[in-house]
Amino acid sequence: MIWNLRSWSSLALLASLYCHASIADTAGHPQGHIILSLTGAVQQSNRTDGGLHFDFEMLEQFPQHSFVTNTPYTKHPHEYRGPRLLTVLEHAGIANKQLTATALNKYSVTLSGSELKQAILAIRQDGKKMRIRNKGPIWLMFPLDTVPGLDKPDVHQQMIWQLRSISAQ
Amino acid sequence: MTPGYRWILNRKMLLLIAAIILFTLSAAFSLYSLQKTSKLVSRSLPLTIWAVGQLEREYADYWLNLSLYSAGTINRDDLIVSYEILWNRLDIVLSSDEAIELRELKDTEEVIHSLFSELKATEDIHYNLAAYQDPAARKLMQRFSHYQQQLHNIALVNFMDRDQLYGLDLVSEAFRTFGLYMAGLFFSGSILVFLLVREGRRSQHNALHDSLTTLPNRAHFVAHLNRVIALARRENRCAAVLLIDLNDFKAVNDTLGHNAGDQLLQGIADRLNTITRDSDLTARLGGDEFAIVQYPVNNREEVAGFASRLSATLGQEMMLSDGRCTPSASIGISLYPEHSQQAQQLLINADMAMYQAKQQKLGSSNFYDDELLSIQQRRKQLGHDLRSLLSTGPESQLRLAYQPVVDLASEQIVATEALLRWQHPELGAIPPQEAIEIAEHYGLADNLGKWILHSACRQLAEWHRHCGDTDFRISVNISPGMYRCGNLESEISSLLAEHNIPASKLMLEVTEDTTMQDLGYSSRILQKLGSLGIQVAMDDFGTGHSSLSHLSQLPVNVLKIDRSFILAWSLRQEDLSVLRAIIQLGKTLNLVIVAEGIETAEDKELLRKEGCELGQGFYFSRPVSAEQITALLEQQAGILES
Repeated sequence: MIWNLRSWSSLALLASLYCHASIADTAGHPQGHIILSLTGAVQQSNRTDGGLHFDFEMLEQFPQHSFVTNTPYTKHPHEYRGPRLLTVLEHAGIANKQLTATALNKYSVTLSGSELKQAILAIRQDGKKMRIRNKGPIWLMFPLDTVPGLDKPDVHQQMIWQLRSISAQ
Repeated sequence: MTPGYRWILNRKMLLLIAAIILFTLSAAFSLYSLQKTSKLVSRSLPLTIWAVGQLEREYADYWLNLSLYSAGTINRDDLIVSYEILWNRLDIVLSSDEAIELRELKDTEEVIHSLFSELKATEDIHYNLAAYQDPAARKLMQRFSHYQQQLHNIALVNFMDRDQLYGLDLVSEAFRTFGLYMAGLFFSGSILVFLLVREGRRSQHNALHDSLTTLPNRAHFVAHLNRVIALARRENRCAAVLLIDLNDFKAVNDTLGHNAGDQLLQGIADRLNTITRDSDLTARLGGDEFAIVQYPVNNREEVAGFASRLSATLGQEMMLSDGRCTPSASIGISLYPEHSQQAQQLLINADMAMYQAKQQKLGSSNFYDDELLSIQQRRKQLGHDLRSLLSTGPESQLRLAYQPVVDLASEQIVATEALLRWQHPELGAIPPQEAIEIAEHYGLADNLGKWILHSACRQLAEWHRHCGDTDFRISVNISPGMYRCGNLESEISSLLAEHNIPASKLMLEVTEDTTMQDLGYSSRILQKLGSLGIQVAMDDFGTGHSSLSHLSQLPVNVLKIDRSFILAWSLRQEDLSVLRAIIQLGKTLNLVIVAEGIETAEDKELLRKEGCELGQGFYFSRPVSAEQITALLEQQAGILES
């Protein structure tokens, strides 16, 4: 167990060092299909439109977190995995801004509250890439079952699925 | 508390507890139901609206994109996105809890299932479309064209069939349940109110009725009498108050038990109820005292007739569980407006008349008259005067007279009986019986008794000193009130010590009535007096209620034969047998016999022959003053010496 913890944390450390370096290297160059765009007051961009855009692989290069949880929108508990929302926002320098998340179907919601620290951008469900038909490719996910006080309507409302973009003001 | 009553109480308690439980449950369920209902209303409404709106919109997006793709405006990937979004939406609508209400709409689930199946069936077609403007899209458009209308119909049903759409069928269901609980609430509340009202009525009834006979009680009677008086005044008619008191009710309680006493009272109540008219009111005033108010009455004769019928009815033999008894009642009657116009005074007058009837003849009735008022006033005055007399100086009006008691063989005066005399400044000589009765009635018997004992002992001591005859005895009558005073024996022993009188020289005379009122207590106190050495005489023997077995148990030394036996024998020879039997009885019980009322030498001689040892009466001497007794004693001593 001790070994596991150590090995995971050192891996995570390595991964974070690597991804900082790699994004710095490859900023503005998502190789695949763009699934997330950060727009507005972003500190760095990788396109001429001023936004910071990510494909699946880029998001997977951030340190990955995972947990198992039920949601009001699913029948069974699933394991969700992806980078912390805050890590990605900090990377773009918009962690402290006012944020509006918008989905593929144009549903949008304001992101706010201390609960956001717990949120991940889930890109895998039970190890598999999430498809649009299963609320992918990105589902803003909270560990509702494991962290007390999260399982409430305010949080449920922010669990935007088919997340496509986040704009910062 | 009888078992029956306890049972009723338990049943009542059970009903009350049941009602309270029902009330509480109904209230709790009502609250729960109300909460559920409001939750359904607040939750299902927006969620259902949301779900329908999203579904219709995302279908419209897909349809639009399909058209745009066919027209070559967008590429396949954009179409796939809206395809996938619609897939996701259908999946949610069919599986999530939040869309339950939506699925329950009429035909909705079938439409959505059909759309979802079509979507799944065309997955390959979608993903195999060319990047732009594949003709296959036309086919897709044909396959999906009719859903637009169907989904629109669902939205339409939203408005037409609001109840179902908004989950309001559940809401109204919940409201029905709520109504049911409310009915329970109302029902149990009604039971509680009913119990409350009934309990209130019952306690009001209890306040106004006697629990044993269920007749109205004194308070009810007085209130009714006041109403009758008001009515009689307005209608200018007469009313009658009859006060009925059972004779010797105490004897029934004592001999047959309290249960029999209760039965007797209930039986009397039944008889009173049957004989009275509906317009009359019968009440139990307390104890063995009943009352009837009659209204209207036409004249005195009518009431007198009713009273004699009443006496006859009440006097019939009654079967009780523990025996039978023949009740009798004394009835006192007062009339409105003749005797008084006030309820309270009418009752007092009837009470006086009843008291008078009781003294005249058992089982009789008597009307109030003004003479009774003067009797009453006389009693009051005597009571008042006796009280002040005893507290200031009794000697101004009270004195003792003494009647010699003579040894029938030697004709020597051996003792004297002290008798109370009261010379009232206005009313003249008050008969001793009345004086004692007044003292008893006004609670003065204790003080009066002490004064008599004191005076008698002082006088006896003087005779002992003066005449040198220390065998001379004195007897004193004690009444029930003196008897019941707690410290009689200590009072007497200190008196004897004070005057240096041997206890055997003092005799206390008790009557049968006095001792039989409380046999246990009498027996105890007589034992104590006897242990001091004091003589106890049974006075007026043969006139009261005494039982021979009791007589043998009581520590009595002397039997005084009532004067009525001597008098009767003097007039009619045949009563000798009774007299002889009494004397024999006394001898058998080893008692000294004293004959009272000896008026002739023949009386004396016969009684002596029959074995009677002592006697008193006019033949020897009337009651005389202390000085005269002194003279008699001196004379007797002189004769003896000469």
